[in-house]
Amino acid sequence: MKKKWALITGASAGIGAEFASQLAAKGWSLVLIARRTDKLSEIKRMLIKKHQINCHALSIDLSKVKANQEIFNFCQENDIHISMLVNNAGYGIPGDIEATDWKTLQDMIQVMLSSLVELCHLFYPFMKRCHEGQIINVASIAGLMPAKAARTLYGSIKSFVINFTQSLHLEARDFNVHITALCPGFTYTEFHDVNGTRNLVKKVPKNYGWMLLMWFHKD
Amino acid sequence: MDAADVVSQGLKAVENNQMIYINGWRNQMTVRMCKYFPEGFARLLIK
Repeated sequence: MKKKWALITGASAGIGAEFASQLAAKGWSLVLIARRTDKLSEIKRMLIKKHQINCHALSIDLSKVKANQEIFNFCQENDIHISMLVNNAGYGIPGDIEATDWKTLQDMIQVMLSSLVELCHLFYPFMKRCHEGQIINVASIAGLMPAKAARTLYGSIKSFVINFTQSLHLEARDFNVHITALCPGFTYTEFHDVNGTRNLVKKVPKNYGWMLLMWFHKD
Repeated sequence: MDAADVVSQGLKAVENNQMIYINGWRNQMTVRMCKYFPEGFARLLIK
């Protein structure tokens, strides 16, 4: 039986790495995308050893405008037909909008929003033609919650992702292409080390992430 | 919530062709309450 291919962005850690691990265990072949070459190579090596799957690891920075086309070209050149796309790459930036330089904000929009849309635009048509495919856009409950000061972009981008996914889901539903916006609450990954909310998450009893709703409104 | 739970639930959600999937019943409840009482519910929790 021909193995199906899944493409995962932000695959070097956290939810992305977990997607890689669970899909590999189900026998999927993988194209893993992340910036960090060493971590990505380590994950690739480990998955191939453990599950004997086909796996490509591409060290690509999604903040570069041409990155998505490079990924698509790589798949075309290697005759890889993506049946599942997991748009997971993302991060948070702490601080007020005026304290953050434009390049930082622009990169965040490119990685979490433009890149996600472009990858759907590149890979969805083939899924539609085949009448088979799955796209998971990793959003967040932050996209469904009241806005929070000093987290200007994160929630807004996730709101966009949810709305975009709803729209695409409706477009795709007659073609057997399944499209889902996944909205986790606080999740135990290194995400919170990067955006400066680790101490906050430590205070949350396991499985009680919803209580952090209070955090959204404490100021 | 562990990343493993988030991912396994997400894979089931896309398999079932769910448009939006919110992980965990507590998160689902919170989002729903915020939708109906955007300010009031959160403030009630704090008090």
